[in-house]
Amino acid sequence: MDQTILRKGAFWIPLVGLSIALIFPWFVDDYFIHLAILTILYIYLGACWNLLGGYTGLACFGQSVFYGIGGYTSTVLLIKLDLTPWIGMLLGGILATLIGLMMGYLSFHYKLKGWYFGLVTLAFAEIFQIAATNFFPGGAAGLYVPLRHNQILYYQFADKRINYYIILGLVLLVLLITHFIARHRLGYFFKAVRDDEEVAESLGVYLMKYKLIAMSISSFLTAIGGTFYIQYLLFIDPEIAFRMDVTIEIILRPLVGGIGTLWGPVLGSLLLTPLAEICNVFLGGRMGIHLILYGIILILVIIYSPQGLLPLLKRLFAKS
Amino acid sequence: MALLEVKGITKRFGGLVSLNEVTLKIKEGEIVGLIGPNGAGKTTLFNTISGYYWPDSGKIIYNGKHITGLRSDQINKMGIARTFQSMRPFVNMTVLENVMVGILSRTSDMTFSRQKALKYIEFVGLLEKVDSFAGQLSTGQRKRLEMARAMATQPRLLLLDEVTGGVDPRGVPALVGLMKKLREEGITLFVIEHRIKVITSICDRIIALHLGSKIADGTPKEVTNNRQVIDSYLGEVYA
Repeated sequence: MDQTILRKGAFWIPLVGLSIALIFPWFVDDYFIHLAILTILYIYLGACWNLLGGYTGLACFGQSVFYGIGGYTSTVLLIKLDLTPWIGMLLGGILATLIGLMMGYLSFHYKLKGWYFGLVTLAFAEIFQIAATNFFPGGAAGLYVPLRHNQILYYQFADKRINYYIILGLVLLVLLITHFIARHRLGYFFKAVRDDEEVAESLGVYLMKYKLIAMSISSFLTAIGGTFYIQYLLFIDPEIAFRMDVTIEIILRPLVGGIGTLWGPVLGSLLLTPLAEICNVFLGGRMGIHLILYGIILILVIIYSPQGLLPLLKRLFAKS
Repeated sequence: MALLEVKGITKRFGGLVSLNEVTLKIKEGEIVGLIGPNGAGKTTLFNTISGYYWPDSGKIIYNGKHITGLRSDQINKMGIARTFQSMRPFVNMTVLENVMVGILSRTSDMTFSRQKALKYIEFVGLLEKVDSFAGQLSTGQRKRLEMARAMATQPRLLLLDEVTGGVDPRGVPALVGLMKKLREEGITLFVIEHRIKVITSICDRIIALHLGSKIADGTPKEVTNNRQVIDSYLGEVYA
C-alpha cells in the first residue's frame, strides 16, 4: 500500500509541478518570473553538480570555474566576433569540459579523493577569479553584453518569460539525463565509484575513465547554465562569474534536497532560493543574511537527515 | 603451464617488509589454501596479485602473460577476481545492483546483466535479499554477496579472502559447499582461511606464510605436519 502511494506520488507530483511550471509565467508579474528563473537556474546547476558530487561522490568545489568560463566565452565571442551566444554557449561548454578534464586528470591521477579533491577544485576556482580580474577581457570592471534587442539569434529577449522557458527546458534536459544515467550502466558505475572505488576497480571499472566522464558531463552542462544566466543578466565580471558564493549555493541545493537523487536539487532549490529572497525582502536586504538561515537549515539536515530532505520525506510518507 | 606464477614478489611498506621473495604456482582447477598468522602477508599477497598493490620487485605471470604493474580493472578483465576480507559492499546500492556492476564492466546490456546477476545471487543463496540495500545485510550475507560480486566478473582464478571469517559456525558448511560448487564450475580457487578444518577438507594444496615469507607448500597433510608451520601458527598437529 505504501509503495504504491510512493510510486503514484513519484509520478503525479512531478507532473503537477511541471504543469504549474508551464503555465506559471502567464499569471504573475516580472518580479516573480525573475525569482522563478533564479530558482530553476539553481535546480539546473545543482543537478549538474549532483551528477559529479552526488552520484559519483566527487565533491567538486570548482563549479564556478565552468559556470564562469561558459559566461565569459559566449560573451567575449559575441563582443569580438559577433558570434551568436548559442554557438558561444557550446564553445564555452567545450572549453569548460577541457578545463574540467585537466582538473580531473590531475586529481584522479594522484588518487585525490574527498576533501583533497575538493581543495584542488577550490584552488582552481580561486585561480580563475584572479585570472579573470587581471587577464580576462574587461578585467575587474567586467563586460557588458552587447545589446541586440530581442533577437532569438543573439539569445536576448525582451520578455523574461522566454528566458524562463529556456531554463525550464534546460532543467528538464538535465533531469532527463540524470534519470537516464541512473538507470543504465554509467549510473551504476558512478554509484560504485562513490561507494567504494577500489572495490569497483577490482570488478573491472576503469576509474579514471568514468570519473572523467562524470566530470565532463557536469562541467559542460554547468557552462551552458553560465551562458544562460549571463545572457539574462547582460553583464559579466569576475565576481559574478567566479566568486565562491555561487559554488556554495549550487552545492547546497542537492545537499539539502537529497544528494545523489533525481529530485534532490529540485526540492533543495524550491526550498532555499525563495527563502533567500524572503530574507532579502524582510531583513533589510543586507547581502548574505540568508546564509545564516542556510547554515541553520544545513546543520538541521546534517543532524536529522544527512542524505538530504528527500529521503526524510520518503520515510515520513512510508510511515503514514 | 601454471595458471598463475608468482616469482620472487617483494612488497615493502616503508621499513616493513610485508612480502619477502614469495614464489608460488597455481595450476588451473586447483583449490589452493593460504594460511598463516595475522600479519603474515596473506591479504597483501592477494592485493598484489589482483593489482591493488604493485610489488617492489618480482613478477606475476597469469595465463602466460606478465600482469605485474597492471591496474586491478585490467587484471580483473583478464580473469582474476577477489573478495575482500573486510567485506566492502556498495552500501547505497541493492544486492542486485552490487552484483550487476561486475557484469556491466563487460557488457552494457542492462536486461542481460540483470538476468545474469540474479543467477549469481541465486547461486550464493541470497535471492530473497535481492532488492535489499547491501548495507542492511548480516555478516554471512555480506560474505556471500562478496562471492557473488566477484563471480559476476566471470574469473578463471578467484581469490577468496576469509570467506568464513566472522560467520556463525552453522553457516560454514554452506560456504564450503559453495566453494566446491565453484570448483565444479571450473574456477580455480586461491583461498585464505583461518579455519583449518575448512582448509584441509577442500584444498588440494596449502601454502603457509610467516612474516612475509613462504614457509611451506604442499598437501594439507604435509603442511599441517610441518614443524615451522606448527610453531608459527597451528600450535598443534592436526591429524
